[in-house]
Amino acid sequence: MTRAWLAGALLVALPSSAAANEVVATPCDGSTHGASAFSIFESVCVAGAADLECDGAPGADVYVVPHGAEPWAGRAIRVDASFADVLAYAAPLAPGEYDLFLDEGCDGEWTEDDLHVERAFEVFDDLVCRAPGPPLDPGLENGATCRGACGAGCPSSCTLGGAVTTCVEGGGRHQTCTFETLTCSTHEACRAHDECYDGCDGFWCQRQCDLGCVGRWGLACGAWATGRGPSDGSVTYWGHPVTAGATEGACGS
Amino acid sequence: MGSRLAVAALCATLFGCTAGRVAQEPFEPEPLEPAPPRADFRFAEPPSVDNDPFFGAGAARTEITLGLSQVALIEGALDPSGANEVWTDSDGYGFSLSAATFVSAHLSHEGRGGVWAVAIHRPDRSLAAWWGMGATDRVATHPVELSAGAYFVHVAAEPSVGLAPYALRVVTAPDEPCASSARPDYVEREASPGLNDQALVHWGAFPRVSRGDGLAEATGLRVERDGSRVIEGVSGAPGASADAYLDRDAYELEVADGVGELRVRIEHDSADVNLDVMLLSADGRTLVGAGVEIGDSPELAAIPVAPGRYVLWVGARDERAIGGGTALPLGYRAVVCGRRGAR
Repeated sequence: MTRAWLAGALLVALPSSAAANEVVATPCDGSTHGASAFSIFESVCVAGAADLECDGAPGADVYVVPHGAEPWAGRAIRVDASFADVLAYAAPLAPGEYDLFLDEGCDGEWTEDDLHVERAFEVFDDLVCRAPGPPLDPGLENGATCRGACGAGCPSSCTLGGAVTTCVEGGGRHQTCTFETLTCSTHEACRAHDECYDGCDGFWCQRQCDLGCVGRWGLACGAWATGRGPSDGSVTYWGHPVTAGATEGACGS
Repeated sequence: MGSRLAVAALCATLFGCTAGRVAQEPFEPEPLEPAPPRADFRFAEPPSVDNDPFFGAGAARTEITLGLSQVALIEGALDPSGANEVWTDSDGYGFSLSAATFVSAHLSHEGRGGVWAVAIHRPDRSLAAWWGMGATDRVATHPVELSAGAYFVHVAAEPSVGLAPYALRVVTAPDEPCASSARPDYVEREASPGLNDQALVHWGAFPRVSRGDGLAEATGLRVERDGSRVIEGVSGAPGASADAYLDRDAYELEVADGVGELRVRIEHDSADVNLDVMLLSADGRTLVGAGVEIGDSPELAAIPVAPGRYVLWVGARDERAIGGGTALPLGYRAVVCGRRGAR
């Protein structure tokens, strides 16, 4: 149970302009953020981008298979060059871990152009709390938080919002989920810089990210680094959900 | 009083009274009265025009194309009506070079409070000459050798500066690095971190100087025109940082008569330590100039000065968050030389 709702908070950030050759699972609600945990009552969609053609048109095939299975064991889902909210696995789901395959060229063969995302998502037989927005802690290897906010991690210039309670239901049961929220200013430069950092594996790569900001935006990068500076909007980040677990009945009962 | 000053200037100029000048140096007369600044090109922009190259309409088209050894004079004003958290205003001026040459930008203003910055960028906005920064009435970039082509100069100042007219000169002229001896003129005595941290420097878009612990080391060094001084120091690796730096080393310097610009070059051997250099007022409270290039060695600065006492400040940026600074403690050489300065 605990594992289920904690895993539910681990959403995977999908870049606003998805790079080619990318596929993530999403919760079929129009969300632009990928998800790594689903309940058996939900459906799974996919989003991403392909950079080759299938039958003369830009696109690829996506496969959803139990973790460790051959890609071609699943059903091929044809997607466009840039795709989002494409139904890949309709409820009810079977609990377990799943892999995603992006078959570039739609040739049904494993090539170096293809993408294999192991353990792309997990299905739990409990209800899963899902934040309605990007997570404060997306669970990245580098430990980075508040991705896209201006400043290191979640800077002190962010404002703490009130607790927000949501309810999920399925299988005749429901579960309330309470999230703390944090709202931070964002800017195109900060989003690009965070994305650059998250794609890095060391000091020199990150140094190039810094130089990239300075070379595009000049002095403002110093202000952004401290969580200040011009913004083109704000982002509300959602903390880990707190829940007392599922109970019988629908939401509001 | 004025005549005594004139005599002193004549002594220094004509008879080499200023130590460090070579007897065989070519005679170089200087005017007794200030001459109007030379300009091969002139351009003026009203303060209300949007020429913000980063967040606005782009750098002003000046139609200036500089050849070798030429000067462009640009007059503008920072207009606080569009101020943001970063700057009171941000102005850009495009110019071209007809041939490869050294270029520098020199900004003078009325000295209103706050830090000013000037830099030279390529059309893709990457930095060609890193920012000169300072809170006095003059700021300059270090000369940089650029190929023929298009560039723009960027001028900005802290939000506190307000409405402020300024004169900007873009100068092309041959340049030579400061000579330096292999033997240092001074070696840091207080190599342990924290002992000579006279000033702390915090960063936003601009550096902010505040009082630190310790005092600048009394070096006894005097920087003469066309003379160099070399300081050797060690940037340490403390466990914590009170500002944006891991260690700060401060050294007293005296700038001799006849010096209008200090050139500073910080040399070190590590690629993953980012040293910055600043020149502070004698009490360590005012930023006179800075070299803040990210990462590269040597760190260069060209700082307009008047004769007097200053503090040379060298700091290692705290970049532990991205795995930097692992090479600390790190030895460095600070080469400081006096120049007459651009006229």
